[in-house]
Amino acid sequence: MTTAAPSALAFSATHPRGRFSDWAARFVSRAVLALVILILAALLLEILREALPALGTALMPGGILRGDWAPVAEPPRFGLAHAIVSTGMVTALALALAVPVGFGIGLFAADIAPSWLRTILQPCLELLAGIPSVVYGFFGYVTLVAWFERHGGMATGESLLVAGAILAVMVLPFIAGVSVESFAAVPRLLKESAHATGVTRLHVLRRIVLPTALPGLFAAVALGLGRAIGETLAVLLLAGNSTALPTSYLDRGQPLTALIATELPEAGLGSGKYHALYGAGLVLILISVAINVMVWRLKARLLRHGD
Amino acid sequence: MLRLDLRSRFATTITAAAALLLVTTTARAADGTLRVGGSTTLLFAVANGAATFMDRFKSWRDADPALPDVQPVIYVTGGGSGFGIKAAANGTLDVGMSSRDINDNEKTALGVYRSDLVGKDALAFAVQVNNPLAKVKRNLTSEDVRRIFSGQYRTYRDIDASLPAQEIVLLVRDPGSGVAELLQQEVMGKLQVSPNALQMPSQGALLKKLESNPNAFSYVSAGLAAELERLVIFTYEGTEPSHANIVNGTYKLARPLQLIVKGYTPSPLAKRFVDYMLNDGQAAVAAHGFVPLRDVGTAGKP
Repeated sequence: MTTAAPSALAFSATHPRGRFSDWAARFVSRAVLALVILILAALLLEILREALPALGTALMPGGILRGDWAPVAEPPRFGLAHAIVSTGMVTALALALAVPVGFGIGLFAADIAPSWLRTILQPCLELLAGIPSVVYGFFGYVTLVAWFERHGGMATGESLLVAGAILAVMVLPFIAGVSVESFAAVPRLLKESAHATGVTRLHVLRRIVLPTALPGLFAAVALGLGRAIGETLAVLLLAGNSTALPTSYLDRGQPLTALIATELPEAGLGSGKYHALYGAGLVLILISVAINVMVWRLKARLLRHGD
Repeated sequence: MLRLDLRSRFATTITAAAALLLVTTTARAADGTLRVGGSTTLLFAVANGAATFMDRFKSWRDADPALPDVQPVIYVTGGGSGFGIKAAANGTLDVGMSSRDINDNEKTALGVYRSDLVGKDALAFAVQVNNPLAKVKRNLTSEDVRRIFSGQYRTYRDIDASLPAQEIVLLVRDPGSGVAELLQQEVMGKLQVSPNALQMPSQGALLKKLESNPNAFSYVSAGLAAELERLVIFTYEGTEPSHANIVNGTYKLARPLQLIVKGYTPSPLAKRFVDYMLNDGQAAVAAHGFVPLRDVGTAGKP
């Protein structure tokens, strides 16, 4: 923008704090920020507006927080309990499996692995993260589901266990990728100073590396959680898509995302089912916000301890 | 008669959008467009039929010398059977598609109309060849089906004491799909399909699972049944879901797929397209797993 230079100078005379380009950059970034907030707010408002009729009757018979899902009954019942439980169980299992392994991979890659291995590991994780979810779903379908049918003595292999296990593989690259970065970001100086005092490797890990990498590790969990809770296609294929309330990991279930994907295409605009499905969307958002808030609060508390 | 009706409506119409719609209605015959819509069950079969029609005839005159020399443009939209009948009655569509019988209210709204059966959507119960039930039973009564699908029979032993206590793995389509509606209306009535049933995302996924899992029990479109060698198809109430039985109505689990045109003298374009669907278009009906009225598909297939 060389041609704009004189006017920019003129501008700077009246605005001592910055030149025109500074002002423009500030303006654009604020506008983008406002746009993001606006889109998010519009999305939330729209979901809330469409879910509102279902929220009003949520606790009445047939409401979204009571009883079972029976859309063709007379009168129809739109209870979401089975889907909320399924989402909770699948997500919990996926994180329970993926978080320890992901942190392990992160620590190994950042601290222990030779650099040549690290240069292979990083692109592999990125590649894994880029595989579409339907591929994971199909892979789980032809391997795990079939295995449980043949060797697990199950009448049919679809279950929350299989869905959670495949979901763990899906979120692993995200958790591992972010933890590699946060472990690698621990300053070498800190670690080497600690080693110089003669403490064990475990001590360095516990007292120096973990506390320093902690914010990044929380981000890793939050990212994995967001991915796990929102995953649709793979869990739809693997969890069995049954509307019964699951009571064990060997039961079939239908996570909230699978419920919405199954029912929304045929839900009449403005019908009870339509509003109930928006209610399901709202519940999904609320769960994910609640867990994220919990993660961030836990992080804040742990960091305060570290100081 | 038709023109008069349009005029009087034109005068009372207040919204510009509705006025526009009527203008296009009057202009339609001249520009060669035909609007078809309604049942989502029929949507893809009729859309395919329309595509082959437009491919084959570059002008309506090619299809029938009495018709004007304009290019055929056929729009096919969904909206459901109710919408299809209503829109055919009020003139929004030239041809309505319905996958159920027309009720009395709709008959009154339509006045004089012509409805043509292009095929039937029939439901047949099926299991894999190694399914335990297939070894002892080849016929199901409506009571059997109700008990199986409602979950009252949980294992194969509940159906027949000589069978293993293996879970009956129910495969169903989502409640909004055509076959699921048919089962609900014709067999289940007020009973609910068991919540333990696996809701399959597509007909293809259902067939794959049914073919691979010996414990699975499900339903398929009868039009597809003949091609599925690994499946055992049950007779229902003693009647085989054969082409003849479905067409003549002996096999009860079927619903009509029909095209509806309003008026004493239907628009010649609409009439020509309906005729096409009743003849060459039957292949498209069969290709989507429905039972065509004329036995086209299986004989000529490689």
